[in-house]
Amino acid sequence: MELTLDLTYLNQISGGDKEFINDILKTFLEEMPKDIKKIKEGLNNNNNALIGKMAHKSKATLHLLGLEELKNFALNIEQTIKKDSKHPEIHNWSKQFISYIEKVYPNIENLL
Amino acid sequence: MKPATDGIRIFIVEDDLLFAKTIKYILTLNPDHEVSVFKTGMECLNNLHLNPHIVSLDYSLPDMTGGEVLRSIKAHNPDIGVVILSGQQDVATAVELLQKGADDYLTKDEANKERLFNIVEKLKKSIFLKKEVETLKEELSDKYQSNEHMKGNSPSMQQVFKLLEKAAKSNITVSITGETGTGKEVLAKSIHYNSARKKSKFVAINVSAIPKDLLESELFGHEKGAFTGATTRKQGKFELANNGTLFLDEIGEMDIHLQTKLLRALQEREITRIGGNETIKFDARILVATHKNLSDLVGKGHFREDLYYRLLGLPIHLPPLRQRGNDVLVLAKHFLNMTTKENKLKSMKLGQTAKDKLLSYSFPGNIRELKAIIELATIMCNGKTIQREDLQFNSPKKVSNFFLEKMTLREYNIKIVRHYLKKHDNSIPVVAKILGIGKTTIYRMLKEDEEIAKKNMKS
Repeated sequence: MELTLDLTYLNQISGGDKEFINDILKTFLEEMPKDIKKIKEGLNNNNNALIGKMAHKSKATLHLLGLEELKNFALNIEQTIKKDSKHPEIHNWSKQFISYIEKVYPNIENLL
Repeated sequence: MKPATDGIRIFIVEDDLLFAKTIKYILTLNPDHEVSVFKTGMECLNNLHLNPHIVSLDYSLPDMTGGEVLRSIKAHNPDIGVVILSGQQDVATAVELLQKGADDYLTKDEANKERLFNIVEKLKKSIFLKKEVETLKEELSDKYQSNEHMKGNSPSMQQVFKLLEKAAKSNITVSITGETGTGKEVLAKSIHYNSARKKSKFVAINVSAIPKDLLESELFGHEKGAFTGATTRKQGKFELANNGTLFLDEIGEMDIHLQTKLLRALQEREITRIGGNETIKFDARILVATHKNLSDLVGKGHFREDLYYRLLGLPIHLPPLRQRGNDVLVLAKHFLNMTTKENKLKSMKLGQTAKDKLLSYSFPGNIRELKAIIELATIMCNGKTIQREDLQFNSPKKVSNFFLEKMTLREYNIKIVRHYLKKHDNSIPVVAKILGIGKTTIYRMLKEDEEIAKKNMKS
């Protein structure tokens, strides 16, 4: 899984505006743990619908940061839940997703 | 094209704060945009009193679906442009939301700077055009409500104004008669724009201006393939005027066969397009006008009697300008002000000699002719006051110049006699018959005239 950020898109739209890019990165560090907390809630309560919702929400953010493989991973979780809400692999994939995200945090902190 | 307002208020409704910040950053690159972010559908709805022009709406919100928020936004104000931003490429959802009134649909992966700007610019143009159309409609309505073009103090026009008021308050068919150029269409528009139907269309059709074979299609529409050249379906004027007013000008020129179809449409309040089977109900107020005497046409068998009574409704006759006394000056001043304003000329006034000349002219072309005369006078005039010589009467109807010269009754009489003699090869018996006077009277008048001419030469 490629967990290195690709900031091409953010640089493109902002013309390399560092202040804006740093704000986006800080927002990720503030907001993503809240979503991860909800995924963990979903795992604890067997609430796959909540997991699917949070996977869906994370996609746009991951796309903006150029984390395409991780975005596709989230998409797979979301779509699998839509097709089969009790799919046996959901919990396993969700845990993997959480661990990947947690590995992204230090990469971002290094950029700030 | 400049937007209708200096600032465009945009709401971003998005629970993903990072994505919302990115969209906000992109949209605020244009300093005309005033962007606010709301994390829930309810927050957005609670702030609609701020009158956003455009809303960028996430389809999946924590408290409501995008569809629910869209419905509430459009119920609040259908003119707010709504762009749905969705995380998924779901064609069915996109189609459904577009049908429910969304103005555009974009997946978040595609939400780059160019796409967003294109959509926003497109919506801004649409908002601007809608506002422009509304403004023009209001201006048009105000123009005819204030009788800007229906001016006159003469008793005959005061009577017209009274009838106009009655016509505007009711839904009755109105038949307007009057010579060419007396303002029949202006009166019809005044009725429409002062009536309860003023927010709907005023559709006018001049029966005499459209070839007989095309008129039926113009009025009733046609289906694709109904005849050679009917490559697409076309709505007729009756359908276009639905909820509004249909003005049939020069109704007296309508072909007798088409009159039958018109009568049926008016009786049944429904039409069938040419080549179609479906009957289409319509609710249009009918106004008709003619410069001919319809009852004469009925007598001659050129106009159906039953249609005549169906259309007669409230008859309003517009008097010719020559019978409106000082209204000529009222209208002349109005056209003078209008022309100088429209052409950014210095303000002008009518001199006494010009007023006298206008009052002594018969205006066979009525108000239309007066307007043209005044427009030309503003160009011919070298100073600030229009004089007699600045007014040029170029009516093709020669009789109009008859009253221009100041003459005694005897001089008028001899002029009439000489006019007819010239026209009829100096045949006194023929002219006597035409004018209804004796031949000896004509001989006497000619003799007197010659004697006066001789005296004048001697003196």
